[in-house]
Amino acid sequence: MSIKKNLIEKLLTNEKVADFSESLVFREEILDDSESIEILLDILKNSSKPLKLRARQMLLEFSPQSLTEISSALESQNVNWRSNLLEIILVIISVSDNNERNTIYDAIKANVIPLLSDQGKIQHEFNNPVEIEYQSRVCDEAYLLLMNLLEPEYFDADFLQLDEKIRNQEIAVFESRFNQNLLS
Amino acid sequence: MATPKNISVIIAIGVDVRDWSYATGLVNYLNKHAVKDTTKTNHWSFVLKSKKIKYNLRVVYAKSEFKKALDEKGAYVVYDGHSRYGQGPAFGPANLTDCPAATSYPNNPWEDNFRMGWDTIKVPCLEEILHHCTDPKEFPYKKAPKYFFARKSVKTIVSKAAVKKSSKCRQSNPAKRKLLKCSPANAKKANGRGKKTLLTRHYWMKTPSDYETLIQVGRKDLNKVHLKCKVLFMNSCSSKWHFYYALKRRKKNKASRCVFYMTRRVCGAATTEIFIKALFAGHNPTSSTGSKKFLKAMGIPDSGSIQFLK
Repeated sequence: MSIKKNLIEKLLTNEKVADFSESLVFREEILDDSESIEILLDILKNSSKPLKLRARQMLLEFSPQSLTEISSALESQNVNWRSNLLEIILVIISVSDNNERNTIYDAIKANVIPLLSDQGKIQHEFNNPVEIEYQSRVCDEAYLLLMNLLEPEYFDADFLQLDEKIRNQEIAVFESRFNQNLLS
Repeated sequence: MATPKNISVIIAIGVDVRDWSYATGLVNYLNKHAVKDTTKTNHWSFVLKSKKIKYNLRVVYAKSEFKKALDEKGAYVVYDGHSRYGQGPAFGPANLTDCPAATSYPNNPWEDNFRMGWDTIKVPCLEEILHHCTDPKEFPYKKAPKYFFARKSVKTIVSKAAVKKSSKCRQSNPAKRKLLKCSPANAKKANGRGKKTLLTRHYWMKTPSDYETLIQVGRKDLNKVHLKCKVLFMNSCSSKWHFYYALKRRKKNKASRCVFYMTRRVCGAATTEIFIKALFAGHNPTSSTGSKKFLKAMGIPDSGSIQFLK
């Protein structure tokens, strides 16, 4: 086991550490470090649920500068994986400053655009009966992530309630404008 | 230690959700980590020595209590419950059925909402109106009224339906159609309270499994409060899209300083407890820096993608 992996696992399994950002080891050895991102993504993919949750919390502490590397893991073609990772990216974006949005868009667009053709339906495992208002797909969430970066006031809910065919049309228009470099 | 600053924290738990394990987990957490006030039901306190703050917490289960909380100066308020598709927070007793009997509940708690939303919203006839035995007021106009506070998707439905000459039952475009004509069996169904609330109802959109109708909601209850609270966390599905725009208006009208935590997606996670844990850890939910701590902590799966909004 690499030294870094050992460090990360020790922190993840230490229940006394509730806030990773308060740990000096985390800040100096793990935060925004490329090898750590790789290790955390591996834990997120292959470990038990409690450890996955802790790894997710740790990743949420990473800065927007790490998003290119984090989003590169979206290439793995698994609906749940992509959906989880998009959620993580969205949280990191939601705690970033508004003036960072364009930089983030440029940093992640190449990794997110391929997801616009992923029609895989996202299945949530709610423990209780919630009011399901829409059924979203990976392509919808990827589209909304990019739209939120370009237009922070974009009304996600209206898009999600559209018929799938109309959503596909909107996504296709977006993709076409992207390919023609008409988006910025 | 100097006298700590008192801050009220009110957690209003809605109908049905009060029976979920998250709600009992929250009470267990408070019993373990805060000091229970044995003279009052569901009251606790927690002193945050480092910040010289004393949190006075209470868990409430009634609409009147939620309303009171929104006007409690400086309070942190959490609503943990159903959005009711935008009809507003609803409260009720424990173990209430999805369709409570009219003899025990002449006023159905599922439709006794705290009105704080758009003028008009879209709800499914079967999954909502029939299932919860409600009878919401249908959108009464042929076209959009002059001042129409509704989301774009609803405005589009209304405007398309207004010009649509065809009103075939199965067409996918919006059109105002009588449910009785297009689905007589469903329209004639009596609900669990013995009422046929779909009999004269129209629907505007057909989904694969339901008929979507337009109903009136408005802001009757929100317009009675001044939003004196400092934080409102609406921990209910898609709360940003259902309630934020009405809250933002009210905040402006009343020069309120309340900040909001809102969900952007369907949610079903124990984020209220995480919110309280973050408070006890000393984070400030009203500041920009503090809010980031809350958002990260609450960034768990199925949390509904929470956003901090002013």
